[in-house]
Amino acid sequence: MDGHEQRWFGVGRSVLADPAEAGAEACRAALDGRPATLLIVFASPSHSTPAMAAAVHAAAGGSVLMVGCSTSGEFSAAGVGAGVVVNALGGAGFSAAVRAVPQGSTGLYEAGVTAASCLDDIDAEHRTVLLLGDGRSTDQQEMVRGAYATAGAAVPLIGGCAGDAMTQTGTWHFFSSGGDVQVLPNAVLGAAIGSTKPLGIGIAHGWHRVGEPMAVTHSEGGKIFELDGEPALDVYAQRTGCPPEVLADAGAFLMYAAVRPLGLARRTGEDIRIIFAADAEDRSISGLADTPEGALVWFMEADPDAIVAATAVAASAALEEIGGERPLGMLVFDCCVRTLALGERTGQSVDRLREILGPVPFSGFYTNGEIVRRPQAKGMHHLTVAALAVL
Amino acid sequence: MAGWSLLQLTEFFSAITRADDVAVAARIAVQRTTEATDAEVAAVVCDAEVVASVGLGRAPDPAVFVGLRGGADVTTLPGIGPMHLAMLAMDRDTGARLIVARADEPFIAEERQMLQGMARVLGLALRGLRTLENERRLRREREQEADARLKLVQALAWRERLLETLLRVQRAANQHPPLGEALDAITGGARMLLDDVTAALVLRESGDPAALTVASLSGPPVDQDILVEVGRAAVVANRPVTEGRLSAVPVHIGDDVAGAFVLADHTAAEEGLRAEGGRADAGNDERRDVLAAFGEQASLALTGASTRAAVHAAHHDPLTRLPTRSLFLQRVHQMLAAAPRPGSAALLYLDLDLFKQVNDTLGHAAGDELLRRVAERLTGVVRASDMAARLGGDEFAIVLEPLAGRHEAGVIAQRLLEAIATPFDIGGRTVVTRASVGIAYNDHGHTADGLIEEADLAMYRAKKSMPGTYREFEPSMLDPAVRSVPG
Repeated sequence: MDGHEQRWFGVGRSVLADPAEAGAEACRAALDGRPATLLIVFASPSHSTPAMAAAVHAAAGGSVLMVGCSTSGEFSAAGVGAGVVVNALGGAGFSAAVRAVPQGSTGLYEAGVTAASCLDDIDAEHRTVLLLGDGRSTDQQEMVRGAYATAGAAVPLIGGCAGDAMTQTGTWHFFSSGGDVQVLPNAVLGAAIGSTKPLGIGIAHGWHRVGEPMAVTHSEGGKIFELDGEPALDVYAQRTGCPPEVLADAGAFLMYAAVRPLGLARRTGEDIRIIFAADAEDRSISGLADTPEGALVWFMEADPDAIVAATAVAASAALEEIGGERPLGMLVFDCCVRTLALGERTGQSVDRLREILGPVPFSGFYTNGEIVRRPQAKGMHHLTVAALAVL
Repeated sequence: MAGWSLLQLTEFFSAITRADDVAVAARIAVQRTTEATDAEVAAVVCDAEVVASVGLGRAPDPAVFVGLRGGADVTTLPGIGPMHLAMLAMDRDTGARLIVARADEPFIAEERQMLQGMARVLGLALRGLRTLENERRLRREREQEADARLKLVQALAWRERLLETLLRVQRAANQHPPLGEALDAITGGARMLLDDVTAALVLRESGDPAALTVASLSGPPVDQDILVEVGRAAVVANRPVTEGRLSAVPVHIGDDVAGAFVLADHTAAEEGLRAEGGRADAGNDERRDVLAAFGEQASLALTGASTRAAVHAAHHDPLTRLPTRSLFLQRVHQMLAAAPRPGSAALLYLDLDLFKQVNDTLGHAAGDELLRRVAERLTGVVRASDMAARLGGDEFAIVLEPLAGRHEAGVIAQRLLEAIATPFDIGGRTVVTRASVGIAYNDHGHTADGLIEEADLAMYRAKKSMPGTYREFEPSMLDPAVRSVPG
């Protein structure tokens, strides 16, 4: 690589029907003829094929570091869609290293330890670890804990968990440490990014508490049986005004409950717990992450404007961290459930990003869990937007 | 935030009791304490060795943690900069400690108390796990006497019982029972763990901080003066004290000493002396552990109750103890959001008809007493699912939810009118009053204020046309011409 070459960040997106053609097209657009230090690939399940991963890698010259994962949809300045997005960065002043942990090879905590050990290979004034989690296992927080144990407080963690277009069927990760290209099911990937300039991180969700808190009086893992001593499902249905026909239909309840989460009391604010299932037999409700007995929870509400705005709020916070300077590019990790809440307004949150970022290239994908670990943000987040600004 | 630290402690207990070796327990401890306090760095240090740490990477220089001395509130950590420190002893003897460091703000009293509780539980868990590891090693080596093994197993079983009891007490406290029940659970738990002791909590009286009384006692009766005396010694010294077979530790509400947790040992003194040395020591250790751990539980329960009381007070009218207007508005808002079917809920607006006369003729004290008694009768009539609130002056409002039909609101309103019309005995005088009630039903597009206004208008019409009755809101009442015409 030419040592005098300017640092750069590029984004390419393609929705061509053929996955390999789309991958190659997106990669060429991102590179614009420049040699990349790292490729970051987001692809919808329809395009998450070995041929796509190989085509992206080949289009970048075949010996480049690459991480990526399947999504529940991607977006860039060009809009929202299902295809392939390739992000590339390069030039003197950027360094990168990557790790992959295949599914089942180790526990989630150790997977996090290994994924973040990519930091061992780079030395830079400003560093972050980009984590792409598997999005299917239940306790992703353990993975983030492992990564934090390796990275420590001086290096923030950011990323998202892979998506599967909300089909609950399985996710894919795309990986290359320079040579072979691997497509791994439900893996955990880490990419250390080093830079001579600051990296900014922002996070936002837009939900707020309503009413008085309730105590979780009986729960096991993510399943909540009682709130304030009453059957949890009855309390939930009453407080949210859930109609009986929705309670009786698992699919309808998922759509209904996903945007009516609970908030778990924390020192500053709350951890959001998405509710996704109800059990009419034992009157319980189930959340995507552990809700311990004794916990204090609130019902959380958001108006559509606040949900739309969360993306821009996270992006602005990331920009603020780099002193308000114009970044080279931005990566955004946006919860896939938010698209259920936004429906046809999903595109508006991307419009708002475009307004804020102007000509700055950006992209993101709809995630199964968002990762930010640094002071005031302890790891896995839900119904949240995380943004990384690269200066 | 009320209950925040109790919740964190419960989560911590649950996680620690799942660990099955020292390294995992210590690792969980550093993770959970940093997450619970938004801290960046934590470490567990035992015998000048860093058993686990987080925040400074995989292999930080142990000297960074080992070299930290108690009493320092701020330190500079490599690669991160200046940080606020909390150093918590895990037990009384070994110097083992939990260190937590945070960049943004110093740790407040509630956090230190919670972290101290976590450190103590961790200390107990690590001792239990070390015993277990010893036991495993002994079993492997097959060299030890059966007796020694038995002792270890007994010690282990005891520690497990202690942790289980603490966890149970902790969970019970999280259900926010009346404070008395929470304190009884603590003395009862301590009593169950130790043979032949009486466990007591002596607390300062709110009116007279110099006076100490026994607030909870479990076990064989003991002269209360003796318990108070040793409790006072611990309160005055603000540290653990032992006097003969009595021992006590101070308990706190935040930073303030609130009283003491006292154990009275009934084991005959000679028996203690005759027992072989090891067993007697073990008994002392057990008592000390229980004293420290349950004293901290009592502090947490008292602190939690006082913050909850403050939150409750902020949302309730000090005179009648009814919810305030703001809490009531929240409830109405919730009701409107959650009750989509029109007429499935109602709002009653109630105004006393003769309150001014009572105030003018009998004085404000009698007026206040009348409001209190009216509030009692209101809460006696409405159902558990309803909410009655005082909106100000002699005006009250009630949410009725759910409603089986519109007639139900009328039935309840009539009962309210009859309850209030029944004469009151205030300061030996019979006081008669009555109320007028307006009823409005939820409908699509209602706001909380709109619904209250409708019920208010209906009340006004009832008062003008036939005081002492109820009327339901009708859209025609909104007409300004109608508003001004009585009847």
